[in-house]
Amino acid sequence: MKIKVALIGNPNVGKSLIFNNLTGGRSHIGNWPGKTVEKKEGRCIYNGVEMEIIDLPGVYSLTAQSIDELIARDYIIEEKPDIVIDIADASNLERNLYLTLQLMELEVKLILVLNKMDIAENLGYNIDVEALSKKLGIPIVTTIATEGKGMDELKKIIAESIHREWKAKKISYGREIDELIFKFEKLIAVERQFSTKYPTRWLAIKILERDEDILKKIKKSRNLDEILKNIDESIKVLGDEPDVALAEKRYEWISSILPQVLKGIRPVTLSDMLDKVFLDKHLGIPIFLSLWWSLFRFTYDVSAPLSDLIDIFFNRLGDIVKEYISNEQLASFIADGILGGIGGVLVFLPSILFLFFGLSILEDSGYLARAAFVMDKLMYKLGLNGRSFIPILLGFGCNVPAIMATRTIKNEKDRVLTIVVNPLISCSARLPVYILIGGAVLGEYATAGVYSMYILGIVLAVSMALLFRRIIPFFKSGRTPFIMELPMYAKPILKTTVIHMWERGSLFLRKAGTIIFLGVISVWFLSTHPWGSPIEETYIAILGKILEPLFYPLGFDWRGAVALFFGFIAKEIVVGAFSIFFGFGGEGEEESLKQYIRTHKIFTPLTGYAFMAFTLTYIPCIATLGAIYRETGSWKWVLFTVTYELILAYTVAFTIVTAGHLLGFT
Amino acid sequence: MEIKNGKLLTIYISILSLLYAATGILEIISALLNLIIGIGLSWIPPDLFGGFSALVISAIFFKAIFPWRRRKKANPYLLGATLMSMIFGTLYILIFIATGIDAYIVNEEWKWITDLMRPEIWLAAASTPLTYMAWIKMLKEFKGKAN
Repeated sequence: MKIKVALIGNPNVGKSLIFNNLTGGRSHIGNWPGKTVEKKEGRCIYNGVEMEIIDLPGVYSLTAQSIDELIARDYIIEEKPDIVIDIADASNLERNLYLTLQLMELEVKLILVLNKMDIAENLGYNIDVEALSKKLGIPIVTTIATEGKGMDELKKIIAESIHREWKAKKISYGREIDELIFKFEKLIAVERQFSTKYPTRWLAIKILERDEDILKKIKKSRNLDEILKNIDESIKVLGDEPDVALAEKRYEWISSILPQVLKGIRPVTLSDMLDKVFLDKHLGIPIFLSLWWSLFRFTYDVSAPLSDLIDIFFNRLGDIVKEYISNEQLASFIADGILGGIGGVLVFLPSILFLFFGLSILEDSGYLARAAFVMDKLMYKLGLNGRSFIPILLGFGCNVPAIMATRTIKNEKDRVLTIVVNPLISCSARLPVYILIGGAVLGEYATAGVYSMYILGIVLAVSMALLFRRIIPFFKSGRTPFIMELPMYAKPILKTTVIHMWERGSLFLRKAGTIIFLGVISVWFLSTHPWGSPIEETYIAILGKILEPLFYPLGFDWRGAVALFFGFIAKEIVVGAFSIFFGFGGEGEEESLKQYIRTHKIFTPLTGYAFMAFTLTYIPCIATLGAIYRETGSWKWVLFTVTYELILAYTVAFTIVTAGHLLGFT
Repeated sequence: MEIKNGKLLTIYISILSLLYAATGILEIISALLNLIIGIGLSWIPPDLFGGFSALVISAIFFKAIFPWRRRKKANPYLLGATLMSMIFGTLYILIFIATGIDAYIVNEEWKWITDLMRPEIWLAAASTPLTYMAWIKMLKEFKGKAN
């Protein structure tokens, strides 16, 4: 026996954790509202019943205003799962029950899971689960997902649901609205194309709300004229914003039952106290900048010994290979190409893992959500959508998931705008370039140089967004306020933090073994052939010298130009390319490489800094371009991003070099 | 020191706020001097953003002074300031250890005294009694309640 089970719930209710507990599979457990943007599937067998479990995106409601909500709603309507599990945060029942009511209206076989019962109890809440179950007409299971409590009961109730039937209570919107709903229901019920596919009462409510997606669907209705006439008439009862009026009625209903099922008053919590400081009107942003700075010191300075160990390991391995392999070409391929190139990139693995470790601590503690919140104020003042800052923060890890996370932005114009500026946020792939070049030419300002790249990324992304909004008609739209749920602060759990770090960091390792590997091998081949030629006469030098005039005003020679050229595949290849260029003669190790760059004046502090800024700003990598295409569905935006970023990169680097010269720097 | 003793605590917090402010300003000056003339202030790390962070901690301590004088139950700014102080103190200790290990690995000379003289390490140590008091009081107040 196999049943299809859909998991749904507000963001940050512990849905991913419950999914993992049920399926035994590992998945990311985060604090970001709206993180689960893709459908995840898993399996579970209980008492001989096989369950196919689908994790739907985290949503607050089931309107058609965002892609996430539409995905979740369409899945439930079109795929008709056997059971829908609505996961609610027991410590925030009022808000969570809103989605429950909407699911009840969809007339699905619904089970309500009250998760975070421990937090609710700590807050002094006492929930009468039985009474709530009776009021809603659906079974309720209480859980503490972080401790795995209640999972067996949940599995049991799901398995038993095959033999049990229940119907959720119907919500009354008051006499007048109920009459309107009934009118629409009658009109729909006679048409099989609708009545067999949708619950008629739900469809009637959606028509009454003037849900855009549903209004498109009912255009085929025989009774369209009468439906439209009734919609016009409903304005007298519901006003110009019927969805708001119905939402108010739902909240009224929730408020009417809550006192009967929930006792206790929410006291002031530690989270409230810390929020006073971290969300302070004046200190919120400076604190964010300070913590961000501490993250980069941690990433750069604390990881250094491990990077050196890897460096020494690859260097010794290279020496051994050269010593024992007599075939010069093969020895060069392994020592300079594979070990020099990949080793040159893997040296930065500790820095990347440390960055993700720090980011995970900030995320798991609940601080990252606050960072988005404090920046929202600034962004709103600038006329941008505060919700865009969440994908911006995610972009510090990797731009691909960050671009996918823009699905939570309801306004299409804001979403595309956030997508096209997201590649300006410095992803972890660019970190090795900053560490190498910064370390080589900026001396004790290396960490400050790296940090400034991240700040520059935010400044450029916000500036570009503002500019595009002003000059490109497509992006002109009104400001939309950003409502965001702030999770409670929590003590990060080392195991979870390490898992997060590894999940993200291992992507870098996989990349190193595939795309970066191919990239550096290409660079090695082009920089060693024709075989035996000095590097200045190899194929790569020919390519570099074609590109060199373009980069001459920025102070980059042909090696910088060609490294950037290959960095288009993946940014890490820039570092791999330098390792190969300067790695001949056993000088492959990181420190020697930095010293080579410094002493041979490949870059001066000024041109090195400009090179870092150019790396930050120029063309996104192939994977990011693919994500832009997938999310916008248009090559136009891909081309737009490539074009403006190239112009911007050149402008920024040129400005740095020119301003530096004017200030007397070399 | 009793937590009720507002006067003494106000002085204690004020001194910490002042010391963080002085550290921040000196680190910024040292960084600017180093950038312009190539030599920073002796014993003061030339650290622009580190100096900025010290100023931020100073500002949080400063904000903690006033609610304390009004004898509010728990002081959010005191919690925030001591937390930030501990974060940066721990960070610079970690950097100190990492630099030592790194120097050993690459066989370089380690000027440990310079790394250990980072003012934020000593300021974090100086604020430890306050951190203990503030967080213990807070944990007592929130015992049994959610975070």
